[in-house]
Amino acid sequence: MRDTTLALLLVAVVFTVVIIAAARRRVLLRMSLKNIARRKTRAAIVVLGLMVGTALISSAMVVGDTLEYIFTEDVLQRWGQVDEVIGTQSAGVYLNFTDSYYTVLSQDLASRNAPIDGIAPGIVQRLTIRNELEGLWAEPVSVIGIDSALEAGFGSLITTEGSSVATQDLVQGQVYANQRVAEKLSATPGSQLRLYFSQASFVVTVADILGDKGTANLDKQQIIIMRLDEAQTRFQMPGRINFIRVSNTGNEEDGIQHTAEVTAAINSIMDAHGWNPATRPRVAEVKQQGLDDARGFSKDVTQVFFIMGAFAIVAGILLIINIFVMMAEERKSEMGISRAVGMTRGQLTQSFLFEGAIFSALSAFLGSLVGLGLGSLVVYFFSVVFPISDRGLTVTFHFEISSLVLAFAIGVLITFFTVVLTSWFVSRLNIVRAIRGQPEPVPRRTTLLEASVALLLVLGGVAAIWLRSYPPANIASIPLLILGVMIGSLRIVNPRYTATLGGIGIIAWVLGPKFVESNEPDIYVPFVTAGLLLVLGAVLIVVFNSSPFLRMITRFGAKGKAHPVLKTSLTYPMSKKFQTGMTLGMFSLIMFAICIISMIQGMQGSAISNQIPQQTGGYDLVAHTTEFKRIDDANWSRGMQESGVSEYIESVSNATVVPVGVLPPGNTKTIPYTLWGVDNVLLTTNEFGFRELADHYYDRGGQYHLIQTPRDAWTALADSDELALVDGNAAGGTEVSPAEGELRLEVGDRVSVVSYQTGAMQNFTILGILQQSLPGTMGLFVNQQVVRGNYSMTWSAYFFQLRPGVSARFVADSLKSTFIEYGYGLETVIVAEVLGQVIETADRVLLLMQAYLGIGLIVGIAGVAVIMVRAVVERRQQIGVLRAIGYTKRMVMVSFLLEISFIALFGSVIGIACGIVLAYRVWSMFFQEVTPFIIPWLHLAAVALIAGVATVLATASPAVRASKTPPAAALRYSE
Amino acid sequence: MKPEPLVRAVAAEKVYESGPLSVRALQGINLEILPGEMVAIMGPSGCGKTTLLNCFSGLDELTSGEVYVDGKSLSSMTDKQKTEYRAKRMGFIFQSYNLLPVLTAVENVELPLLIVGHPPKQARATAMMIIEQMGMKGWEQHKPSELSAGQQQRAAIARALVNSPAIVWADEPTGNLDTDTSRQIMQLLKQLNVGNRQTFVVVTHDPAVSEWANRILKMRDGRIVEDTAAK
Ligand SMILES: Nc1ncnc2c1ncn2[C@@H]1O[C@H](COP(=O)(O)OP(=O)(O)OP(=O)(O)O)[C@@H](O)[C@H]1O
Ligand SMILES: [Mg+2]
Repeated sequence: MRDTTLALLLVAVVFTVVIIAAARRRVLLRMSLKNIARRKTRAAIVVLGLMVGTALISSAMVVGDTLEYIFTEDVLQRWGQVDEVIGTQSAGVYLNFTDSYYTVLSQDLASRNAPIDGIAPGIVQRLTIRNELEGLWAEPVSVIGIDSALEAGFGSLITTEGSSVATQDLVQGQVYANQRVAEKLSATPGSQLRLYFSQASFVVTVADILGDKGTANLDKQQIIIMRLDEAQTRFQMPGRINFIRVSNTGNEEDGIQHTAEVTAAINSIMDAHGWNPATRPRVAEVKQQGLDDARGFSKDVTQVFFIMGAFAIVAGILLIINIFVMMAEERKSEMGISRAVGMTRGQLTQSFLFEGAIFSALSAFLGSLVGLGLGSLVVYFFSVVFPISDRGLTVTFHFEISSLVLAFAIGVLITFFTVVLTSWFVSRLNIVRAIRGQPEPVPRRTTLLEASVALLLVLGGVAAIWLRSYPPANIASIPLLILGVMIGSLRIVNPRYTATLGGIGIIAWVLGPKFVESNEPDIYVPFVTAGLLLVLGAVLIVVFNSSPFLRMITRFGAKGKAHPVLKTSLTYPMSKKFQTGMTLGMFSLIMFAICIISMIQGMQGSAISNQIPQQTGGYDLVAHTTEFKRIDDANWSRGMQESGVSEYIESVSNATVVPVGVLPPGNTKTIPYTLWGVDNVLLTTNEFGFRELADHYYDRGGQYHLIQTPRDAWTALADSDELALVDGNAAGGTEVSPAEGELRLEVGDRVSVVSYQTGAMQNFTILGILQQSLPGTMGLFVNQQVVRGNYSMTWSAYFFQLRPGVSARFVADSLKSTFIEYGYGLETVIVAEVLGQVIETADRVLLLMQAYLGIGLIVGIAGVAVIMVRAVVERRQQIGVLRAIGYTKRMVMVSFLLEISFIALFGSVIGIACGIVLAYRVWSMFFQEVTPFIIPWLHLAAVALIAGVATVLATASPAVRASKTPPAAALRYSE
Repeated sequence: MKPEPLVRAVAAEKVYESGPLSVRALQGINLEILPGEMVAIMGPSGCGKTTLLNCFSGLDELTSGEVYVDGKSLSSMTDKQKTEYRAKRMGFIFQSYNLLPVLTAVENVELPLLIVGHPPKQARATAMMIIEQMGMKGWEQHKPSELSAGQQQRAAIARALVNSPAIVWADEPTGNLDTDTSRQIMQLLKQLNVGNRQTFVVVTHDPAVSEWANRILKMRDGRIVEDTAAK
């Protein structure tokens, strides 16, 4: 739900005022209604033009709604009644603890009257499973041991047939399988499944298949459910469990309101019993966290759409101004006559306002509905582009009525206030001139209006300087002053000079040293402001300086008959500077946004490919065991031999990994992490890059060493047992991939590492932060002896460099099927695939943005077409004159097309130039180190060409219509 | 020997169809206009004067009958040929001047020359000469909106005459001007008529204007009801 109160209130105020005024002056209202009804096509075009902005706003909101819905639903399906999980998870594995914790917690929570309606113990073990009869594998499978007697509050287990079952119904060796795993293994009731655990394996029989719901859908895993007591024996955890689920009172969704209270109660019970904070299980607010993430993500996406859409929305506003100025011009003489017969200026403004109010309400209403359609289109593309069903997500289009209402309200307000301003300006006309259709003269002295606008702008600028700690105000401050001075001096200095100087000033300011400071958390708003100002500056310069340039084109560009055609086509836009500026601005803004997106896309792609060696360390494949089980060296070499993959492998390094709690400096609570003891092969062969690196270290003997190359940092690990390197997530993620986990460290930090088994502490100094942040290899990298010597519950990880041309997938599969026979479940990470996914996802987001902006481009083109249609009507009589004095039909048509082509060309050039310049500025601040500056010329040229051709096509029909104007009728027009 | 007529109309009919109504704006007009004539067309509002002008100059098409210009039938010409003919041989003056508002006076005047492909420099020189003749020197760089009504009409006349047309069609050229300015304008036209032997067809309500003509046509309901040579 969005808060629509304020917006609706404003709309209500506006419309009450309008309606009261209309009731008092029904004549004026009737006049406005007649004006609308008289020319239906024109009214349709106006509505079409006006609704663009609203449609963009509403579509961005609807996309946000859908995403929030999808991800929220996902979280609710994942966790069902579960609100909190108590347990310590390290690299996807839960560490076990005594089941007396459960007894104590459930009793104490009950006696404290904590707002919970369920608490249940369990064991979850990630395993590889095989259906031997079918020869099918599934991994990883969560084998969950629960006791249905304790499951009150979490719902019972329901079979696919719909009957409810319980673990008490199971006998030794019987399990339930959820649909997900049953499908993977083609298992049916009665199927025999082999579970690989520890060096041994055992067989169970499927008693029934459970629907993927509730506990049988926990975290959307492949799930096997067995009796808790059987799990304790099978997994050698007598008297122990490894996770406790808690359900707050309330249903699936509103239970989270008690999360904070329940978490606090659990922690205080643990404190009261004196359980060691470093080693006791942690409370994870899984549902709260999941919902927060879902909302945060959809808000981010909506925001990105808004930001990129902002340029198109501003373009839409320029279109509104353009349309109303044209409407006013067209009706000038009519309005002049109304004034001559006694209507006051106020009444005239009012009648125009009524019309504007009707138009804005109508167009905002249609616009929000069209936005709904656009939104569903974007969502459709989203579902095609992102195969999120792989992650168990279902794309369902969803929107909140409140979003449409808000979009409507914003649309009405923007349109209405634009109309108010325009009509007020227009009503200030001179009666005689208006009747005779003459343009208003250029005043020789500064008018009161100009003076007040100038003053307002200057005051705004001063206020903005005062508020400069707010980034958009900071950026807008000097440009506001410049604009104020420009308007104030309009009649004193040649406007060409002030506009040019002003334009240069604005551009210089925007790009200058005061540009967005890098430490700002939210760069988007200043970015949009900067973009708008940049385009404004460029349009000012171009509009006021194109005359000499265009005159030169006319002089040398065309000989013979083409000469007058070129001349008329260039003179019209030059002499209507305001309208041309608006149209140019509209076109440029959209091209600007498209250009920026293309540039980001190009550079992101290059940044990622530049980072591949640093991310992968030169390894093609990483494999690790799924349980706390180290493969001993003898088993390893035997397995390698048997699997027959040795000949495909260039080198193998290995690491011994152990789950630990990391205590960063200044923290009191540990963060679950992993400690990687890496062997000498890895130390000497890896190509991992560093984001940050210390410049020296002291070895075991206290001797000082300089660090000059990344290799020095790795050899340092061999020289000392107190040095560590940490993966890239600890630095807070990269531009390419967001950070995982909560651990944030800096070079030089001294961290304590706590063993979950013994509670023993060990200290390490962080020597460097790696570039790589691949899933599965997050950790603190240290000397292998440190891990092997101090920890027992470890597992093994292997890093493979493969021979050229070898399929990593093939090697991975061979290793897996060999080692499972020895009782080692292996998980593999195929580096290229993971990186490919990262690149693809980033690429797809940008593709989606371009599609969205494509819609913006259609807006721009439609806007230009509307303006063209108006121009043809407006100039009907002049077309008649041209035809009379010798313009052929073709000359008329070409003249119109040339005019529009120039606008499209200049718009594209301004937009692309500004885009490149701003992108360069952003690049030089944030991306210089990760990628060279790339201008995707080909792509930009293609976009400009498409835009140009589409514009010419869209305006071809009015141009042809102009050329077909019968001269006699045209000359008679409006006489 | 009688000279070849510049414009000859035979049984010219023009019917405007607008919905169920049809207006017979020209009803069987037979007319010859000779080179060097200055013809005034008079008649009440709505009698078909403008229609005649439009149809005889090729801006509009007759419903039936035929108009020959320089001996060639207008209906046999393509739109392009008619346009070219207008560009080279005809000039137009309108009641509301109809200068292009975005061009300066001199740019308006030189436009017909550019259309027929004169080099810009030469066109500018010729236009300046005519502007000077019209007594408009010093105003050539002004836009129409910055000129008085009389000045605008002078510029419009200059535009009509710049390519030395054989015939100039003028529809109420003095309709928006005061008596004094009217007289000056008509004097100008007369000078050109006599001096260059250019043909003028002038539609007017104003008897003072028709006095400058050497032939007066009176129209009523789409017919020519009187054709008199002036003294
Ligand atoms: N495009 C048109 N469609 C329908 N009827 C027309 C059209 N143009 C002119 N008429 C009609 O044809 C008749 C002649 O019109 P025209 O403009 O030639 O008269 P006019 O003599 O020039 O009048 P005025 O002195 O008022 O200019 C009028 O009755 C007019 O209503
Ligand atoms: Mg007329």
